[in-house]
Amino acid sequence: MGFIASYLGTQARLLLRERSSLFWVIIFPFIMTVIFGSIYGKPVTYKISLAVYSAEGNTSVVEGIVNGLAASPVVDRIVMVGSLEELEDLLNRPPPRSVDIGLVFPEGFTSNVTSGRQGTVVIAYADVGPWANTSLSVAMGLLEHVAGRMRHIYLKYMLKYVPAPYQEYIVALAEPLKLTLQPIKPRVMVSPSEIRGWMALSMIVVEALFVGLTVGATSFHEERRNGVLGSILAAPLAGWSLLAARVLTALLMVAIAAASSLAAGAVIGASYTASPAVVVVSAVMVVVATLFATSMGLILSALVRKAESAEALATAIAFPLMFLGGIMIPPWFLPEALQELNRLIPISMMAEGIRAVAVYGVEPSTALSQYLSPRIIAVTAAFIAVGVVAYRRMLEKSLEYPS
Amino acid sequence: MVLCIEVRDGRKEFGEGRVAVDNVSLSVECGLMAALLGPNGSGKSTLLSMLAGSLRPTHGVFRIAGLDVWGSDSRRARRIIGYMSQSDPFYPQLTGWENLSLHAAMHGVRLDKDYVAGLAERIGLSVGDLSRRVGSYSGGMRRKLSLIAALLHKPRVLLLDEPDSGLDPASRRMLVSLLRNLASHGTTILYATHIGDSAIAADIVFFMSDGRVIASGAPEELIERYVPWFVAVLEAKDTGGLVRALRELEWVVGVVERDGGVTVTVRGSSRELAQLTELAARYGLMSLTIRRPSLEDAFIEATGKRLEG
Repeated sequence: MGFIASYLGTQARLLLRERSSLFWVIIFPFIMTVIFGSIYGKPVTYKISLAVYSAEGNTSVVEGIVNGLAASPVVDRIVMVGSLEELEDLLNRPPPRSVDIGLVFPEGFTSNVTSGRQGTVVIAYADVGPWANTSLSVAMGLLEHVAGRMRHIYLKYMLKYVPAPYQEYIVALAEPLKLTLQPIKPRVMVSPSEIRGWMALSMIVVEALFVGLTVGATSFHEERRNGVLGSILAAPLAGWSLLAARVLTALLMVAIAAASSLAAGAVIGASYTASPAVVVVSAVMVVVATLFATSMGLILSALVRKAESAEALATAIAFPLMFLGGIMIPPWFLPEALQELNRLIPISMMAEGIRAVAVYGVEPSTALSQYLSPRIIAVTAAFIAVGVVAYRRMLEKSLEYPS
Repeated sequence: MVLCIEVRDGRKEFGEGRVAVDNVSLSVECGLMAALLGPNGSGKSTLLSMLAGSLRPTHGVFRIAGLDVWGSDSRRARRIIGYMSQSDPFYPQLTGWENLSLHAAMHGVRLDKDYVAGLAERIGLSVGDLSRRVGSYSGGMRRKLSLIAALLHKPRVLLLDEPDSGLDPASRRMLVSLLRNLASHGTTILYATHIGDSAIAADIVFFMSDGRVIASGAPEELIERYVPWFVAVLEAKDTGGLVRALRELEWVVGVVERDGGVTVTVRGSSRELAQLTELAARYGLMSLTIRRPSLEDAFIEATGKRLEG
């Protein structure tokens, strides 16, 4: 145990004295959390701009609808245009457009609406770009809202002329479903501060991935580079001592990186649930993620000859996994096939598990059973077993050739 | 006779059939200081690594104080070995003290700062040096720190690979003095060197060449065995008479008169030197300078190879 403690102390000192390690373990998670948290942790206040063309001119009905739309919080501005060509021209401009959606009130709209017939409004939009569907949805929502208001006005007017015993049937015909709104907190659409928390927690798992892979992959190679491997092999140490020291080094580094990420989170106003149970479950998941990544690193260590190659290979694997593994970007952004694959990758599931308990408010016991499932435990155990075999192979190989 | 270091049929093969150590057998009695003398690539470091337990032999028996280094006694054997490898095993970003602390932990002991300070002083390192980062050390200082690291757990057997490499003459003398002192207190020492003058301090020297031990014995014994001659430069009142008398002797190989003196090459050792001195005295001996062959000369004679390269 004395050796392991001393080795950890050595690695901690090296961390503080090596600029590259200091950057990757302390500065990188801090900066990444601040940058990503600041970018994505803003309130979503999407607004649209409308262009309105009325073929029958500015009637009182059109004016009423336009005023109603202008009062909506999601409408940024409304431009009245004099022709269809003008409206088309506005929508055909390259992004960023000054207008997102066009509304066309055809001729006869007012007379239809005021005589109890159905009025038609044409929605025109440029079907390109990432926000086209969003703009369309917002516009339709607005119009449905306006239509609903108009239905209420009609009903109120009609009821004056309907005998009392039949009034309820008329209401039922006009409004078959009476909708009420119940505000809920959706699973993924969280508050800005929670999005920042999401980022800070994700960054901890990113560090577990990078640190675990690198520390595992450079086992023996790092000691050989620094010349201490010969001394370690000649010392009266148990065969597993260096393995234990490396794994604990990875955990120590991840703990330091986690502190850095959480500090960055505090700076940008991140929030998470932090009950004792959540902290314990999250810590367990970070340990599992680190063990998994370190095991992967140990397997890589058997494939390379130099510390530099091991570091390069670890980085080459960690970077794509950081994104495609659903660690730094939400899994539902990924293609379905990739989402399925990630359900088998322990580090991806640990990232989701930590966010589930600390951000989405999932019960810790539920998260444990859902994310640390027997299948994930089996995959992790399999990687650890192969990692240990790779370590033993490296130990044997190191004894075969001069250090 | 108690053996503290014993190798029987030690062999190490690397890939492609390269044999680094070729069925070497040697032994060193407890409390003796022994040297492996040979040029680079002769198998000294490989042999020491196998004895230290950091390189697995292809076959052979390697015992330290009767314990099998590669058998069930492996960890017990390693506890009593102090090993200084050819490369200095230190993190350059850490101070001397910090590096030594890790090495002490490797051997399961706490760093005894007073003991370390005493050792450092004896080989020319200051306590201030130990507080500096190893990255700022000279090559010689690193070797000294390596020696201290090998001695931290007060081992019974010391295995040193080129301990004097990079040391200045004064530091070499300090090193030899320290090793002699350790040996006198019962530590058995086996060190590898490619410098004949460094091996001369040992009680027993093993000549190594091409992975094999070619010869072994006390330094003087090896010199007498392989280079039984010496050169004497004489000045006498009757130079002519002395030259004539010398040319009559069977064990005198060559006589050259130069600048009023006589240079004589003699096949023999102390007995012949006594006879030469007695003869020269009869012709009015004024001065006598003897140049004896070195251990390096003996090595060249024994192996047909030079030590450098």
